[in-house]
Amino acid sequence: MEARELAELILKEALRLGVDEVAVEAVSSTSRQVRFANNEITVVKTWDSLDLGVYLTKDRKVVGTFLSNVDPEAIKSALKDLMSLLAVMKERPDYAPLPEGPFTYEPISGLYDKELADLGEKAIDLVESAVNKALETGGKRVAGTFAFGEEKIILLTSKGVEASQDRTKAELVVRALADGESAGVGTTCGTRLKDLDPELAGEEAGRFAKLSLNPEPLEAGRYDVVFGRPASAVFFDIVAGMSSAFYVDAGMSCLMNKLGQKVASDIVSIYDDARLEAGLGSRPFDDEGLPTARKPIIEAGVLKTYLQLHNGQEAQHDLDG
Amino acid sequence: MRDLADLAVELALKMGADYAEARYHDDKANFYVLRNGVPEMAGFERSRGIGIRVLVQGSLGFSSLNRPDKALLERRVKEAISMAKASARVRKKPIRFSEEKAEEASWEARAKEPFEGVPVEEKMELLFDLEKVLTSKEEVGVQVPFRLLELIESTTERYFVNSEGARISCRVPRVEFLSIATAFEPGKGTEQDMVQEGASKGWEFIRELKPGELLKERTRALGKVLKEGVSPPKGTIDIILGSEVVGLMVHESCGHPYEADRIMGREAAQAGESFVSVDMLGQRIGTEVVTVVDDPTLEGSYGYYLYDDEGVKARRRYLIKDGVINEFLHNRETAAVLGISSNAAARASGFNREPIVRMANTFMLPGDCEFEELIEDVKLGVYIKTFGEWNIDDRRFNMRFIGRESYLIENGEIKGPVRRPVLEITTPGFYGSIDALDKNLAFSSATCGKGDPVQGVPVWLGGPNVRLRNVRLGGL
Repeated sequence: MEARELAELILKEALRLGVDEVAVEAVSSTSRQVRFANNEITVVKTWDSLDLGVYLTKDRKVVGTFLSNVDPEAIKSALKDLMSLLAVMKERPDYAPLPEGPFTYEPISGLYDKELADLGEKAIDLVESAVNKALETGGKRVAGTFAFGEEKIILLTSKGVEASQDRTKAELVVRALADGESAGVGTTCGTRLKDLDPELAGEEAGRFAKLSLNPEPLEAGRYDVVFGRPASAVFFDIVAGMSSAFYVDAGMSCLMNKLGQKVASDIVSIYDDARLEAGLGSRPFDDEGLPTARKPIIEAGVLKTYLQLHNGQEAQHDLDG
Repeated sequence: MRDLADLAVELALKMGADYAEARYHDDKANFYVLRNGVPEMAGFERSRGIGIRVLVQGSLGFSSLNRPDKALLERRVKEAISMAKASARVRKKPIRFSEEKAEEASWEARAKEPFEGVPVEEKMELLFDLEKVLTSKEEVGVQVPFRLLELIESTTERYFVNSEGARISCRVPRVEFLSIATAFEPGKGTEQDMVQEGASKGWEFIRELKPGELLKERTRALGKVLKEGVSPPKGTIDIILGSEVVGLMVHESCGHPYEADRIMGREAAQAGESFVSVDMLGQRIGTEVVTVVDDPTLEGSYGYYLYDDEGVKARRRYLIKDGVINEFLHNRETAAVLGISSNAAARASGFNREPIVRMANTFMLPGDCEFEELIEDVKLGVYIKTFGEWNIDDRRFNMRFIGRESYLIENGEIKGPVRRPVLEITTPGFYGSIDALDKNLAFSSATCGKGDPVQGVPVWLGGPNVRLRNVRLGGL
């Protein structure tokens, strides 16, 4: 059975078993990875997979999971097991019904690139050019990963949502070592082949590996610090994570009770943009089928939003202020 | 779908592979979770598929699929071979595999009480009972505002076949209990304790574990440290480390740096490398009382297996023997580089992961004295029974950890609790300071992560209580 048929099977079977709501996301993907170390390719991998995300609710109780055993009988048996788990769950205080569809989705450009999907053995050339550049610019040993692939997402819900999206993506990480401990990292990523610059990633890794040779001790104290792109991206990712309602509700977020308050300097704005052209994480619809949007997390230093898990939570938090 | 594994090997040979192997996995897992008394759906796994690995012209190709489709299988085998061939030009030294006996076997870990037979309601009831323990100040003596309780049950069924004639089937049920409790005391702040206990057994493991008593004891101790803990003594003193700490130490500072793929640089961009080099084999790194082993063959252990995921028969590995670096953890690729046989450390967390060098059950062998003998001549010291924070660099040389349940030792006697002692030490410094071990070997479980994409595999870590002489201790 193909992805769409299996998604329909789950929808039908779950409703027959008595759930109130179902959402099924079938993700068919072919992903590839070229790994390298000591300036050599160590392994080339291909994953072909069909994974079925299932979300069920009954009496305001919720279960959800991904199934990778796509045998129809195994799916039916898994749904029965999920029903027995659903029975011992309790009502979710943050339960919100699935949104009533159907919806219209504005397309986002640049999410699928046939050239990248058909890259095949040319991936070896890209890795070779990154490794050579890292060696030229100061690396003695170069390691890393080039991962790329394509996927098709089909989303069906019992509330009338039917959506699909094709995507491609690629990420190259290069780590160059100038000796045992002096290392530099360079990366390049995107949804299109033309967005990738393996030589630049290699050059960055080699250059920083060389720069980090013979480090000198630094006195503890106050300094001006410049964060490079990889370091600042991690930092912004952590801050964005702290704005998720999950961490806020659990009392584990430094942004708790800070909505509308100044949490950063005036020049800091952080957005979660699901509609960015050619964005690695861009999608026209979310896992419940709602059309996506660009959301400000921090704008001009002020905390604007907590990122919500479910559509209904938004209202609850708005009421909470 | 299992038949497709045989077919994959056959096809790969026909298409020009020098070596081929296929693994069929059928995996199931259920996670039962209570977070602050509310049941949560944290995990439910049903996966089935085939992973294929080929060696062609000295290059390695891997492919996996979860659809039982012969045409798709043929395409994926063909691609694994063509991509491996294409990558051969970016290799100076061809990859070879060590010579190994082609094993034919079928093995399993037995569950006396299969968890499939225990009603879901009973499993949740157990968690609710534990929640009652943790929320009762009478039972645990302290407020515990954050509580996470998990029961994880899983079964993996695997079939391995390779082009050398090996054929191995296995079935392993595993069960794990995990809890995180954060205690709070006004004016004193918080302290957190994590318990992880797992085994390759059935539901009988949970019954034998008696998690209610375990949590009561651990949380009471946590509360005592939080409320009464004083600053640890500073400077150079003797330290006794509990089994749980020793287990973590040997896993992080012996197991990981002795993984031959790290030593040879294959993990340089992911897990990291190692301060250990091949020419350090035979060098002394610890005192004569120190022997660290990694043993997959411990029956019932969380990291139990009898054949690894390359079909090699498992055995106990002596990583450090009497204080001397004795052997590394190998798969067939790293063993061939040294011209030796694999010691069966190749593990794959699922059908869609390549087998890489992993630990199984890593522990320090116990000594023969009683715990009391370890402390009887300690004039001033600290007993660190459990740990909190932990850091180690990617070459596994410098480490730092903070003790959780810890006590002062004065004139051979254990006194009151101390709070957050900090031990910063090098790996050779740690193994070189141990002068005695007691006979109380104990284990805890963990899911060890490594690889890209990451692979979590079940492991045990353990050891006895050990004594370190003249170690510098820090803390607030």
